[in-house]
Amino acid sequence: MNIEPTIYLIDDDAAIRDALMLLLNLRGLTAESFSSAELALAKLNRDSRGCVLTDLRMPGMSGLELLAEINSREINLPVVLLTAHGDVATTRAALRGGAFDFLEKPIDEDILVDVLTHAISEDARGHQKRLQTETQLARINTLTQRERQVLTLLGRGLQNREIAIELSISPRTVEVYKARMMEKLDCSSIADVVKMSLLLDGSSRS
Amino acid sequence: MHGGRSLSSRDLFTRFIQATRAAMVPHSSTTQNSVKPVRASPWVIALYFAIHVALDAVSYVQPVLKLGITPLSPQTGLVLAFLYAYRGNFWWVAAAFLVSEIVIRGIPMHFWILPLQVISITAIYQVAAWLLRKKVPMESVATLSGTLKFIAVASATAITAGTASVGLYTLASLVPTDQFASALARFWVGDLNGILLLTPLLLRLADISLLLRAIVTRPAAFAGVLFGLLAAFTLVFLVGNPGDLRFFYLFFVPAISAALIWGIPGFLLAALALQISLVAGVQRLSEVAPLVDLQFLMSTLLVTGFALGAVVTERENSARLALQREKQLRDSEANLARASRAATTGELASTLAHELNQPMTALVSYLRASEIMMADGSRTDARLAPTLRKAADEALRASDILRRLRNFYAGRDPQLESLELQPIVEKLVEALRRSERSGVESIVMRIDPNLPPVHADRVFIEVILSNLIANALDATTGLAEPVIEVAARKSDKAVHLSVDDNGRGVSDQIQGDLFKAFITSKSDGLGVGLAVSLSLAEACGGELHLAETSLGGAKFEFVLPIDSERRESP
Repeated sequence: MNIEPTIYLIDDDAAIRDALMLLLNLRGLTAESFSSAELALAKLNRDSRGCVLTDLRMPGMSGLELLAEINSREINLPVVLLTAHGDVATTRAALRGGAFDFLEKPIDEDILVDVLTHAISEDARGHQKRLQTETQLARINTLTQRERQVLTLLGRGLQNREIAIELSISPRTVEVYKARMMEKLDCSSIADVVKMSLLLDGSSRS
Repeated sequence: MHGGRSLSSRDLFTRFIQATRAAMVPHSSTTQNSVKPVRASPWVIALYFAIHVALDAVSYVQPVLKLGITPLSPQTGLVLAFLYAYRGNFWWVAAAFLVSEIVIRGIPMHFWILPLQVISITAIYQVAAWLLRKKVPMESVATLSGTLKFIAVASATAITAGTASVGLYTLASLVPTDQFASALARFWVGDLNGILLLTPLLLRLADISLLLRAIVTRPAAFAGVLFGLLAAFTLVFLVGNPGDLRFFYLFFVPAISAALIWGIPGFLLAALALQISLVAGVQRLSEVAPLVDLQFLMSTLLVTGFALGAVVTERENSARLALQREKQLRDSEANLARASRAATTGELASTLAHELNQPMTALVSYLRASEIMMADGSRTDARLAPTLRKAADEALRASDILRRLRNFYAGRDPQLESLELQPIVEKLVEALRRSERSGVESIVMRIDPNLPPVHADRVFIEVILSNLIANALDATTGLAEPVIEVAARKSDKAVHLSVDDNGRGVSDQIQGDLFKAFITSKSDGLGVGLAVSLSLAEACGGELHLAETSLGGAKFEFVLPIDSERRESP
């Protein structure tokens, strides 16, 4: 799945949409515009890549409400907010809500492009990381009950002998499980194993 | 007799005044301070001593039975004021009584009476001063109740002191028993007048200085009171039969006038002038009425004037207080108004910033885009010309917002003209559709093709209609199938232009205040739209009201008068 990163521009003002679309295209960025947050949400999903650039004040769903909705739907796109008046309260609410950045209208084009580029690469990095985690979690899922237990105990820093006592099996058997587990998880060192066990902890906790 | 007062004695006088005022201060704040006795400085004591003896000497007129019971004892007023201000000077007061007694009246045959009399009288005045400090502080002698209490204390003091003195004389058989009552009356009236006149005068010198300033502002009234005193004096002592006191009541006119004009301080000053002239008159003229009769009349005058003055002073004070409170209230109201105006202005500024930033943002972006297109000099981008035109449009849009705002504030008069409604409505809706604002596609128009011309202001109609449509758009945002119906129909005398929608409708909560400014259900709205619309509708001679919706949301109806109707009516 290789989707080109897109800037999802949301503003109720037609002229702003038109002007920013033109400008972004001229700067070589792919953008798509929506006249309301509701319309944008209909299009956005977890596979969308790029970032959201939205006006704060709109009839219907506001920019902050859109930000909250994007977070709750785990769309995972960085959100850049546009506002006509950067009052402290709104800025704080936006940043607390997890906004990537906050820009004041009228926008300096260079700053806009800079912020959007950063947002897109941040999204790509985040996406990459999520993909990696998913692969590793998939690998962990192939482990048997015993292999999983060995992984957990290794992650706690236990030695083979201690694991054997803990699981009431022979140290020799532990060695076998350990080797099979490391092969399945594509781990070459104990350090990798510990990292994987942390991932296991994180996923089982969540 | 004070004509030759030297510089140093004037100094002394000033000190006395200052000390008196200083002694007054603790009473105005706390009464607890009065526990500590206050002693006068030697200079003040010396001054007191001198004045005490001098007053006694001056008023030594028509004594009875050569015992020194005069019908006037101004020194008692001084003594009470002195003991009120400096409560630790009992023995000095006793000494002053003793010395003036010996100097003026000589040592009586039964010399043992003298120390007894002096000590008992001083003690009585000490108690009176204590009573005044505790119960009737001088500041309260500005209200009627305080003044009446003060008169009561003065009267009781005089009668007690009189009983003690005359009783001693009677015991010593210096006064025949059958003359006890008349001697006591003389004593009483003399002491009472002395206290009533001098004690408040001496203790409230600050008021007197205020009074002098008040007199300057009303010289005619002052001249009138002065003339009245002189005229009454002339009539009582020079024209009328001196033994006949019928004319005494003439003194009431200037004295009570002073009380009515300047309150207690004014009355006291007039009464002082009167008392001085009485003593002078009695001493000058060979045949006059007995001073004691005059003094009884004087007491009546003093009590009456005092009470009247208190009423006036009290009313003045309460009027001043009311004025102060009113000013405070006005100040706080002004502050509130300023605060709410500031808040409104702030909100307005923020709305304006948002409104203006929209075209500005688009304008800046179009111009930057044009710049980028032109930077590639090799070929001309076909998009350049339309982009520049759009930039110009945005600049016009910004200036249009400013013009609308200016008109809103200028509140210009309506320019009523005969107008065809249909093209105005169609043009406006068309412009809205071009704006691509979300929801505009849901606008349906239902306009009677045979509408008569209306008599109204074109801009006002546009503002009202765009406001109503904007409200409808807001109310229907997020609906799956928003419907906004702009309709126009005619009735007998008017054209009904309405905007109906299937949105949220108007909550009961704000329905009553719907057309008031700053009432809004929108979190980001200013709440002036309908208020402005209503005033514009009324300025056209029309109406704007909430009507029965047929779509389920809210229907606003703007009723415009038909043009022909206008022409027929005068």
